[in-house]
Amino acid sequence: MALGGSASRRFAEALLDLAVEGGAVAALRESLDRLRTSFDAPTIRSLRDPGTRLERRLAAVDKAAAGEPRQIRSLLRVLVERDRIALLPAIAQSFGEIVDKREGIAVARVTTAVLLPKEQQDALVRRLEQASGRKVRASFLVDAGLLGGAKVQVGDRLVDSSIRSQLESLRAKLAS
Amino acid sequence: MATSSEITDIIKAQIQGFQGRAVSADVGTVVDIGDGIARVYGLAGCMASELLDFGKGVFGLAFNLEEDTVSAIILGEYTGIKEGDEVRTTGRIVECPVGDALVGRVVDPLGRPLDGKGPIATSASRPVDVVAPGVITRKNVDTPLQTGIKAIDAMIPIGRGQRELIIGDRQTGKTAVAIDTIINQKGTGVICIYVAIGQKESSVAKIVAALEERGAMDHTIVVVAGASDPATMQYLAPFAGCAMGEYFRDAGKDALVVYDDLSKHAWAYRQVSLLTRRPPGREAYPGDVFYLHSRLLERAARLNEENGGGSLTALPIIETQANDISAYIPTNVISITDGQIFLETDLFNQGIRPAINVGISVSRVGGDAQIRAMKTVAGRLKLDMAQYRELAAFAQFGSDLDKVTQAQLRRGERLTEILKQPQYEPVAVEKQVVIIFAGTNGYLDDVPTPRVRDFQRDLFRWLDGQGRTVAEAIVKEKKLTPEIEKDLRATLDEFKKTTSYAAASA
Repeated sequence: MALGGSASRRFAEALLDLAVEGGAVAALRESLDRLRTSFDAPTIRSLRDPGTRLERRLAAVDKAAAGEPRQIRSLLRVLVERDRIALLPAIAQSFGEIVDKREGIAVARVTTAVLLPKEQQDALVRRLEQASGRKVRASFLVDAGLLGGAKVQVGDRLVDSSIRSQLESLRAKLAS
Repeated sequence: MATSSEITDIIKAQIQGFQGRAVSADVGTVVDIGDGIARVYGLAGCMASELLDFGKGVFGLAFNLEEDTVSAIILGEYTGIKEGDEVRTTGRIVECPVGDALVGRVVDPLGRPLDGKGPIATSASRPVDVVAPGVITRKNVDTPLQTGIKAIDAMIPIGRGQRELIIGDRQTGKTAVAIDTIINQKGTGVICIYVAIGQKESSVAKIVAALEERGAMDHTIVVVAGASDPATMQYLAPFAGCAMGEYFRDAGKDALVVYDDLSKHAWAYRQVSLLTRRPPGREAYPGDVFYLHSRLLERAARLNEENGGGSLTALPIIETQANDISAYIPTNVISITDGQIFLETDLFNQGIRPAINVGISVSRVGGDAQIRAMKTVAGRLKLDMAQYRELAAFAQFGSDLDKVTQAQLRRGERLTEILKQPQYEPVAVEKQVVIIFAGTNGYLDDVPTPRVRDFQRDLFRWLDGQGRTVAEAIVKEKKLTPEIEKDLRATLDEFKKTTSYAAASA
């Protein structure tokens, strides 16, 4: 949910255009997700350090991304040259979102008071897919504070039927 | 008093009747917050100007909808909001409570009471920013709104449904004109709404006390967004006041709304616009500051009979700097309104109060609304005053003037004296007609200028006593028929016999 800003989205869109031409969308996504974890804050800081010569930094990036697809290696070089390497995690995020959107996949977050058994989870996902008309990739979280019921968020849309929020609205009604 | 068991029963009933249902809303997260502005990530389905729930009873207004964020202005206290807080849409546009229960109250722009007189019992509410009534629902301005101020009612008349600007430097009595007008609406059925924008709380308290003392709070709502309130509340205040007035307008009643003042409103709007990164234009105001005021003032209207025949009159106030009426906001509002009342420091210091410059003040539609009697006497008054102004400037240089000129100057001095009026003392229209008639028909020419006020005071008292028949006839007929005019001359002659003002000054 990081705020990407428009710059990271522009890079992600450009990369997607290339990926569609090359027919390697899934591969690029996997690669970005891998790199996202390896390029942590200290790595990025050293890659932006003007005390090290640019050639050496580029060489380091090439070495780190040796096994990755060609487009990704070029992207990393461009990012280092333009001093935009700090955007990499945001680009990875935006890329994932854009791909999901293109393929009609909605991300759902389901919070319940107790962990739902597998068959209920599957049933819920099917219901969500019917309701939204899109494929749903759901993650399941547990928050005992809800007491009962469930909070389901698909995209920005939240449906809250938890016991806690009902108690809170009862409290607001009694207090007014 | 309810006993504790009764209270328990009420709560029981409420709990039993409570139906928990799933709430569905768009959600977002606060990414930054400051200066009363929050940027919210998400909220993909958010409407423009939608009310947003920040939790803990804090609400915001969706101001800018951007590519993946929404800039919201917080209505009220924003210090409790943190980065990462969840924000929900409400599906509602910003509203304020309206209704008769608000009359006599002092409230904030969201209709919450500020006067400590308990909750406001009204369930009705209206969106604060709505589109003004269209052409086919409107009608000409044809009923006067008496301000009780002689100079205005005679020469710059205001009709119900009109927008008349009050403009002038600080300390020229702009608010006083508006307050006198509110006081004069007592007993006329006109509901008044006084909107204080960015004013000192002490000034507002003084105004409320003045209104209360004169019994004018019984027909008045005061909407306050003080100098220490967030700019967002100051931005909202006139729209809220207007919505409260529209309730009466649409119910077929008459209402008057005073915006004191729109310069500060423009500042507040400039602040929120710049903070939400809207591009600045002239004097750093955003490009739509003209539209801001035109859509507000356009909501003042006189509705036709099919639509209830109600009216909403607007008296916006603009404060100028060093008499500069060609600055951005003054020119904007002058061009929007149906006329303006200019108040000037020089006149104020010369003791001409209200300090109205009748030469450049105009009312573009109010003339149709004047009662016939007033129209008759005011025509002569305007002419005499115009001649006087021309001569007065000229006569400063020479002393040997011909008789006609001297007479005109004398007349003008007395008329100027008649038009002076202390604060909080509105005059009924029939009395205005009589004194102006007396002035323009030479009944005052032999009264020395310093004693004109005494003359006027005694004449008004006379009109309450012996001269009552004439005053009542003017109220009834609303015009000066030949008979009434004859009666009026006779009454004035008779009154002049009672006291000799000329002698006292000799």
